[in-house]
Order: sequence, then structure tokens, then C-alpha cells
Amino acid sequence: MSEIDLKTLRMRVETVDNIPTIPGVLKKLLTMLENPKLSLNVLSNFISGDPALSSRVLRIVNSPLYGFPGRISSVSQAVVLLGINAIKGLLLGVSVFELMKESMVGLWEHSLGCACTARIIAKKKGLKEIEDASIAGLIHDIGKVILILQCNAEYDKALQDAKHNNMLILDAEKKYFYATHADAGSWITQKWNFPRILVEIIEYHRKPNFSKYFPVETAIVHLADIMVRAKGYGFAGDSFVPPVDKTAWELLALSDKDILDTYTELEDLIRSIGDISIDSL
Amino acid sequence: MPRISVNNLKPEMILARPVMNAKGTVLLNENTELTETIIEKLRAMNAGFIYIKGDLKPAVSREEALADIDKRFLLNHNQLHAGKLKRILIEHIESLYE
Repeated sequence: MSEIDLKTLRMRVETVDNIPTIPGVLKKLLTMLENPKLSLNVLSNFISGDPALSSRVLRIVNSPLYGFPGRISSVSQAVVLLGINAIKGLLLGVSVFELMKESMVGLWEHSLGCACTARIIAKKKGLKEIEDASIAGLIHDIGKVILILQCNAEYDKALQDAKHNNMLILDAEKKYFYATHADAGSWITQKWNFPRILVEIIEYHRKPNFSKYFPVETAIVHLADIMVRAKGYGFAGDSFVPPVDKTAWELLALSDKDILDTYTELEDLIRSIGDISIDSL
Repeated sequence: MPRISVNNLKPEMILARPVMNAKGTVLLNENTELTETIIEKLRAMNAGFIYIKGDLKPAVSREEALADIDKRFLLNHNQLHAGKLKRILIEHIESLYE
């Protein structure tokens, strides 16, 4: 069992922005996100002021991951089109993926696959805010990155345990920590003033029946996560498909054809996106 | 007709659509065979996504792909919904080899 008690764990997670390996731009971004009155204008100026960040944001919004490839040429246009919720998540996504790539090989691909799948399902279900589901898919495993950064030795034990004893990483986490990556993700996104919908999806993506306000969106990310693991795209900490939640499955009520079409569309998206990695952005 | 990222282009791939610049001027015609030089130029101009001809075959054999699915579903092979998902996934994977 873990030597890190719950209170210490939470404190470590919430102070992740103090650690020296976090890039400066991410630190500034996190400080800014903590302001509940953050306006689109301020956010837009911040992105525009950093050429590397601007080019990443533009590359990703013009990629097939979003519905408007090749048509967004300015940061302000991107910010207005996506809205503040999605842009917050997207910024976090593009800023942490360096960390993601370093901390767990394959986690970025898993997250990207999950974002694509969540987007496809959200569209099929006729959701108004497709971007919320897609962004939540992109950052649903942020807690894993945080735990690796702040509790490296313990997380490594959990990973090894999962690998050698045919376990899900979530169950291994429970052996070594008093909380899971889903809790860690929820703590940190609350501290960063993330929109309620993203916090809730991150917290309950592995137990979607607990989602109170956004059950459909949470169910979408839950299923997207499972579908991407089943397909074997990327790596999320273990090599197994987690159980499908009955409530989520019944809530979404996707037909066989819906699921098959989702896989076909995902295949096309993965192919066309290619390697959206830090090197190509 | 796959659309792929310029980062994944390889020599001998054939363009399925012309490549144009932002003003609509055709830089490369349809049916152009890609070379290292052309690929480097496309990358340098941040071309993004390119349509190429033919199908991209999966990297592993059909048998390996199906065996991998079995391994991944090891922990929940008796679960009803996971079973359904697995059946649909197999159908999808098989379609990639047709």
C-alpha cells in the first residue's frame, strides 16, 4: 500500500505547476487559467504572443480532428470558433503533450485516438457541444501524467505490476495510491478552474454511472477510451480492454452499425492525422 | 483514396489530387510520383495533408491482428457488452484486409 497518504497526494497533485520540468509557457498558462474571470481576449492575446503555441493551436484546429480543416488562419478566429471551454482544454492538451510523450510512450496517441472517437460518437448522438467531448477525450488521462510527474517511483511500481500481473492500470493504481488518475485529473482541473463538464468527465470516465450533470458526454468518453484500447491504438498504462459500463452502454444505445462506422471513421482520421506529434507541430 | 499527413509520405506514392498553393496555383499534378526531393519541399511548405492513390495496408498480418484482439480482451471475455464490442471490432479489422 502507498506510503503517500491522501492529503499529501492531493497536495502534490495540486502543486504540480511548481516542479522545474514544467515548461515556462505551461506555467504561465496555468496561472492564467486559475483566474475565473479570464476573458477570450486575454487568452487570445496570450496565445498570439507565443509563436510556438500559436502554431500548435492553428495546426491542431486545422487538422481533421476538428470539423474545419485548413480554414482557420488566425488565433483569434480559432478562439472564437472553439469557445473558451474547448480552447482551455486544447491549450492544456497542446502544452502537456511534450510531458505526455516523455512520461508514458503511447499515451499521447491513446489520448488523440480517444479525442477522435469521442468526437465521432458525439456527432452521431447529435450533441451540440461536440468539442467538449473531443477535448475531454484528449485530456481524460491528464491525471496519469500528473501522477507520473509527482509520484514517479510509486507510479512506476503500479505500471510494472500491471504489466507483470495482467492487471488494468486503474486497479494497479488502487494498490499503490489512495486515489486513481481519475481523481488526480479531477483535482487538478478543478484547481485550474476548468469547466464543470471537463472536470466531471475526467473524474468519472471509468465509472460513468456516477456522472450527475453530464452523463451522456461522460459515457461517450468512457466508451471512446475503451474502443481505442480495444483497437490497440496507443498505450494507456496496460494492454487490456477495461469493462464496459452497462449504464453508459445503454444510455448511448449505439447500434452495431454506429460502432462499426465509428471504427471506420477513426481509421480514416488516424491515417490522415498521421503523426500529430510535437515534432510535426 | 487515403489522405495522409506530409510527415508520413514516402517516395513512390502517387498523388490522387493535385497539390495547390493558397492562391490555387497547381504546384504538382495528379498522378505525380513522389520523390524524396518533392516530399522535402512539401514538408518545408507545411503542406499538411495530401491525397495519395491506393490503399494503405495494415502493418501486421490479419492473423496477428486478430490474436492481439484476443489478448486485449483477456480480462473481460465474459462481459456481455465487451463481447459485442469485440465482435464488431473483429468485423472492422477484417474489413481492413479486404
